[in-house]
Amino acid sequence: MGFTGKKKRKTQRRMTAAQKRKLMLLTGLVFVCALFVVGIFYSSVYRYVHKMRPGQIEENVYVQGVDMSGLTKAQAKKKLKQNWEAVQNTHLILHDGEKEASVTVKQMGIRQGDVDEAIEKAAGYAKRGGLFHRYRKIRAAKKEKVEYDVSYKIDEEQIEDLLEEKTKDFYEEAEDAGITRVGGVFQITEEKSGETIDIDAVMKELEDKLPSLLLGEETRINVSAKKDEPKVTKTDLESIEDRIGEFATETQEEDRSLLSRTAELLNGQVILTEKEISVQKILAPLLEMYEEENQEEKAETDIDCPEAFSQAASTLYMAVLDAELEVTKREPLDHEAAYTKPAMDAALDTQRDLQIKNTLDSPVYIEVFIDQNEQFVCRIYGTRTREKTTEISFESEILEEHDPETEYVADEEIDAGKMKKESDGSRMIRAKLWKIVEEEGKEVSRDEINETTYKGENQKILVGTKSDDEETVEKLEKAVESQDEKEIEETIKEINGEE
Amino acid sequence: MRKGILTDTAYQRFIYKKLNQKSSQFPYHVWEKCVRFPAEDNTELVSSEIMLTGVREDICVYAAARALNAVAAEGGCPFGVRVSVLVPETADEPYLERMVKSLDIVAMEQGFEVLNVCVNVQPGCRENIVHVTAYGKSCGYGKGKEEGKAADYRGKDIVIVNPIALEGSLRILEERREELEERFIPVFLDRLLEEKHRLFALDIVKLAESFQPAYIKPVTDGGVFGALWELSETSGTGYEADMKKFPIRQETVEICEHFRLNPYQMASGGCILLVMDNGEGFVRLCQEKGAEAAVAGKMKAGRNKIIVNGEESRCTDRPAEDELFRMYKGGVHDEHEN
Repeated sequence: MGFTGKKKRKTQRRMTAAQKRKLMLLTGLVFVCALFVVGIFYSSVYRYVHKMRPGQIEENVYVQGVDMSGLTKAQAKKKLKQNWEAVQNTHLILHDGEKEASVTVKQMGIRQGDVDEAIEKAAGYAKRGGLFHRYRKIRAAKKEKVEYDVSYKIDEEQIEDLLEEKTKDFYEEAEDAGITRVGGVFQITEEKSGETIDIDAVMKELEDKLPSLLLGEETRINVSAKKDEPKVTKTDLESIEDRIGEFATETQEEDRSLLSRTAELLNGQVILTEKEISVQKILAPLLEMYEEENQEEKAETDIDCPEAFSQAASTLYMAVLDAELEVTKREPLDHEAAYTKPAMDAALDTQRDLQIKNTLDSPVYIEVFIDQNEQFVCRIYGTRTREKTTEISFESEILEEHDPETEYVADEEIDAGKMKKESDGSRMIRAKLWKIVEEEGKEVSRDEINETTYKGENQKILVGTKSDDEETVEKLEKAVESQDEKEIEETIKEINGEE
Repeated sequence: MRKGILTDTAYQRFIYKKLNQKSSQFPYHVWEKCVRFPAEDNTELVSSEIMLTGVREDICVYAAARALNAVAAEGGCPFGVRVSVLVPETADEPYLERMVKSLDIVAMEQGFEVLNVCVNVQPGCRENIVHVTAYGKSCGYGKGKEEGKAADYRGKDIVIVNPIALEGSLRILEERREELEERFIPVFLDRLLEEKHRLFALDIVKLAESFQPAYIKPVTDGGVFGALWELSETSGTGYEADMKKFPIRQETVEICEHFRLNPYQMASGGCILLVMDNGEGFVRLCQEKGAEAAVAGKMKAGRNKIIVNGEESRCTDRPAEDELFRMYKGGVHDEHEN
């Protein structure tokens, strides 16, 4: 019984060759099948991953809310540009109760950041790494869209200004107290408290809602008001009572119209304590108008800025010194002026300014007008602090002066033998301005205010050299070259046949 | 001669004294514009004449306001106006229509009748010359010249009701609106136009009746300074008035500042100058009725006509040419303040 059992087990373990072949065939078949299945799977994944061409952005990839699926970089850029143009016209509605104002994204001056960078990122999505890695990313994008945002450049100051301007009718702003002098009396209007837009609150809300606004969705913001206090009160201005400074200059008929217009702009200016004014800024509308009107002529003929501007500034300069305010910026004229003494001037044009600071303890009011004697008058009103027995005066001391020299210039346009005065020239002067303080008629101090030097300009005389006779021209040119008055005059006499 | 109304000196020298056949009521001063005629029922007919020139068609309204105020101040209850106008050749029919319409509207608002309108087209005339005569029946209250002279003014309050220079600034605004709009916003300027009804001060005069003012006078040519001078000359009494207390509209201040005109010497139709005991009480009453009013000073013994401006005080100058005439020269700075 035991023998039989052993034999049977041997038979079972041993596989026939046929069986082996079968097994091998089967195994091969299974392997081929597996290979086939894997191949099909790989092929499917490959096709899935490569559904988009290498240059195309994968499906469900967005840049700034815009679907970029299947687009090339160039197409994506174009689409984003079109979208941005639409977004720029999106309205932000500001409202408080029934009052509404709207601004567009364009008006707010919001600029797009680096679009190319976002497109690059979108185009690179699921384009790098192994096949299965890319497959997984594409699958993920299909489940949940992939978004890339473009950064934005925002000028908060510009937006704040715009929002304030758009909502200015929403609230009644505070009004400063005003002061006007008519008929010799100061009329003061009282200040008013008011309300203004709470810009910080609006900006905070805008920050939260900006993403949706930049997706092109009309956005509403509820604006609220905050208390607006006046900067100048009636009490501040009530101290303006006394005339503390004055200066006047003679006017010429040709300057009077422009001086009158400068007076209109300067008259009524109030300088609060520790505040500074720029005369150039106050006169800017006139200076600009002058510049525009003379732009073409100026290019051709190089006309100087009208003297009237400097006359107004010079008169104000002296009145300001008389009132003992601080002159923070002053530039002298190029030449001595007919309407004032040397060193008592201040130049004013588009390059040169006169700036004044109120260093007194109370505000001052500037009155400017042309009086019945055709004088340009500047008066400063404020609170008199110096004693009535104290007098201030100013003295212009000339330290050095030279009369203009005469310069002869040959001119081919003028007939030979004739002379023409081109310019009178001006004196070279070095002068000092002194401030003299007298108490009860006795001088107690003498301070230097400025030292001014006027370079002076030669008197220019044109000597005609227009002649067909070369010898005459030569003689005249030689005489002009000598710059000797006597020689030139003798040459001219000779040419004119005089003894 | 001075532009506008004659000086009192010239009037007395060349008119009052040269006229032999004058009535017993003939005004002694140039600024006395009313005459009284006996009427039925022991009443009197009070009449006042005003002449004005101006380019705008509503110049009749300004003239009518002055004439009616004068009648009311003289104790008359105004009932009507007669209007005569010389118009330039350039005036057309629609212009006349507008002129009459503007008069008609205020007549309805103020409750007076237009008794007639006589229009002549005058060659060579460049602006309208309007002559308005207002009529009223004496209605109980009436100061009468004799009463005014006899009254003791000393120590009484000087009251000014309605803004000074309203008439002048309104006329400037209407004639030079375009220029003013370059500097001021229309809303600001319109605020002044809304005050045009204050040119008629009939209600103020009526209101003053119970306070028995010693003097009541509409402020017209020469402005409030002129009126104060007239008060002093009429009463033979001096005064001290504070310029800062005179009621004035901010719009008037700005317009005068723009043209460099003095509002204290500018046509002030609608503004009433009164002298009375209880000035503060009357001022309160006026303010309750919505009118601007202030006690501007006191009558003082002597003949000094003192004007106070802050810490400075000075004597009032003789009445000057009305500032409106200066405006047509472009405006000049007034030097009187010095």
